[in-house]
Amino acid sequence: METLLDQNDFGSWSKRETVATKTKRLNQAYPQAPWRLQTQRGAVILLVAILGASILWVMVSVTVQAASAGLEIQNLEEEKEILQRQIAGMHTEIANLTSKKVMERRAQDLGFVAVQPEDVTFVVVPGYTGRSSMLAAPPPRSKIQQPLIKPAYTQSLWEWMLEGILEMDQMSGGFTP
Amino acid sequence: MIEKNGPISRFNLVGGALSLAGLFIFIWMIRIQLSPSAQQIKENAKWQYQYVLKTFYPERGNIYDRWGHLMAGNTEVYELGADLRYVNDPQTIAVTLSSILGLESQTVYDSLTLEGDNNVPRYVVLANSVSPAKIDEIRAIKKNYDEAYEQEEDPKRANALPSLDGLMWTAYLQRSYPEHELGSNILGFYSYLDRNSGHGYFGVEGNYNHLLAGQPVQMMVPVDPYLIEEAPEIPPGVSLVLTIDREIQAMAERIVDEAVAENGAVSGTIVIMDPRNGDMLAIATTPRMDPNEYWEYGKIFPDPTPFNRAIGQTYEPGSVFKVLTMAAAIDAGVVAPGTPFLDTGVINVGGVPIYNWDRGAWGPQDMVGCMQHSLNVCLAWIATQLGPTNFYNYMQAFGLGHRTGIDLAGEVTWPLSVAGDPNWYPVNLGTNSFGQGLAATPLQMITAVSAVANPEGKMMMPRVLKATIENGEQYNNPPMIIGQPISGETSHTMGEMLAQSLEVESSEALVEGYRVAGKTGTGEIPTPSGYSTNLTNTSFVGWGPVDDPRFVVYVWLEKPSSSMWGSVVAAPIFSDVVTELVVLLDLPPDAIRQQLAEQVAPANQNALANQ
Repeated sequence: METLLDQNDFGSWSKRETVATKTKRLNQAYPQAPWRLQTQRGAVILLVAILGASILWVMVSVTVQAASAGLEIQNLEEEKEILQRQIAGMHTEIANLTSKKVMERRAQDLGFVAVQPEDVTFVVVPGYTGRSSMLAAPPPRSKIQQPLIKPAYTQSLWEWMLEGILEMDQMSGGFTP
Repeated sequence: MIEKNGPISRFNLVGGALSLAGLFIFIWMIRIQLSPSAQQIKENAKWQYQYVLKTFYPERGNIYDRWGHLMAGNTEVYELGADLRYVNDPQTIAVTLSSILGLESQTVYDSLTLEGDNNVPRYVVLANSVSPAKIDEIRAIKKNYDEAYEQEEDPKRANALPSLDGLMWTAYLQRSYPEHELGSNILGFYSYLDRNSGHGYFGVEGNYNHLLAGQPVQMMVPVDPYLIEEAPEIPPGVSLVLTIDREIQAMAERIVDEAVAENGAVSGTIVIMDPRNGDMLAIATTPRMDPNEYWEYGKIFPDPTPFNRAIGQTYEPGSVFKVLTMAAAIDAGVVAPGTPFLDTGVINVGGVPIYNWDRGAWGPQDMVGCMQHSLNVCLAWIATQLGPTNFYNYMQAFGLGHRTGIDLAGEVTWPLSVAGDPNWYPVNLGTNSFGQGLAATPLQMITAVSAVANPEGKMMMPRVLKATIENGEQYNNPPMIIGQPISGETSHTMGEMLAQSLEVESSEALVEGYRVAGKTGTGEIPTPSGYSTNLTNTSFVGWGPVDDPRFVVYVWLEKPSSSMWGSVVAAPIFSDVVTELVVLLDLPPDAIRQQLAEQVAPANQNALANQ
């Protein structure tokens, strides 16, 4: 790059060197532009910030879902209590409607009369063993211990993969995901 | 202008100072957060605001009869109250509750206008046991008022509108007895108005209160939904299936009420039992109450009236006791049905003369005749032949003198004085033989006689609990043998003897088509000045069908004014009961039953041959 200065002047000679140096420096500086370091730093900080924000977002999201599920559980438990009360009340209501006095009155209103022994005809019904006693619930049976929490909630990733591989081995002719 | 290469610039100085201040605040915040007092505050706040103490009360177990009819259950009712912080129209609330629930308007108003701090929750209970229908009415009215308030645009006019703000209701379960008085002497009652410490009293509710009530659980329930945990599984109280048959119980109660009214008796008791397994089919006694109004107990059962006379009152049973004396003597081989006895009308036992009921002498008799004519002299003689040791051993084997162990609260007993006791005298051997000088409850008597009715002479534990239902499973209560005082042969012999004695006497206890065995009883009542002569306890005990006993019935009418004789008063009641009982038990008349048995037997044999 030429300047407008005189070549025999020292000052001119200094300025020529400064310009060359400057040019050399500029050429060197250009590929290592100082603002790139700042950009890199800024980019790293931004990356960290975005990562942090993502983690926070996931945490908040899970927390919100858990809280929402908790609210739903609270509502369902209240509903369960209400339903249990209503069921108990309805059993009693049915008992009230089918009580001895009520049924007797209804029978009388319908024209029924109490049967006398001489009015009864006995018939043999093969296989009939008589009126069976109340069976309100099944008899006690041996309990097979069922896991309270599904394996999906306690398995590690490795265990899950291993289980899937074993299942695939046992299947024949393809598998259903 | 800021100099770049100069001393620390003002900008940097201020920035540094502010940064230091910020850092100082930050460090101080951490210090406060980590201090012990902060931890304490945090812990207190956690339990005060994050959790609320809640008590989970299990539903009280139901009580069914043997066929599944609900005798005691639970019904949904409401507690009506008000949060005084939010009540702004007490007048409307008072008027509304007065018109719907019948409450005293002024009382409600005074409750709602109590002075207090509106910054803290203040709750008053206005009514309990409010039905869901009434709550629906109140809810509808509240909804109308709220809608009117929202539609009103002028705030001043809106505030002047009637309002039920502050009124609130909470649902809970309350004990209910759908059959009311029916079987109440057996069921007992539950004090449901005492919501925190209610308890079962008498009968099944009292005896099985610990099973029916279940186990309440207290836990801190998180208010923060994020902290929600699995609620504890509160299993309901155990439900009970009784041996009682609702239809038979109703029949027995109707007949005993009619008998008491017709005969002018102080009380009546009818007990019906299955001698094969000890199942109590019915226990009907007077008086009775509606357990839904259990607070009436004091009026209906003035002291010392027992809640259930069948188990709660002893009396001198009289001649029904002769069944046990004769059974003991036959079992011991001391006498046989045909053993002759010459009745002279009096016998001396322990130096004391004992007479027949009519002071008469009945001449030559056999054992059937002694029972038929209910001869005290003959039975006293039998007891002397047995001897005091043998006699009282048999009586104790029959369960006299101690409780039967029936699963009802309130059973009593009277100690049996035996030879050697300080209050036993030799004459007691004679008087005890015909049921005087000792006391027993109707339940003790029917349990003892059930051994005579049982084909194998076994005495079964009387029970009202047939099965329990717990955690969705039914556990049957097996019958229990509590003794075998006599042999099966003796029981057959006694059945024949007492059936014959009824038939020969053409007793009022006979039931057409069914062969029954039984004995009347007329027990004198001891008073401070000796035995009463005009008032008695009339009884009858019988069972049938004689060849295959399916029921034992005990009847006791206390101090009937119509007649003092058991044969006149109690025997017909037995007949009335059995006439209806056989229908309810699907029990054909003896002739048809035997004919059906013959038809079924060849069919069974053919079936076996074809297998």
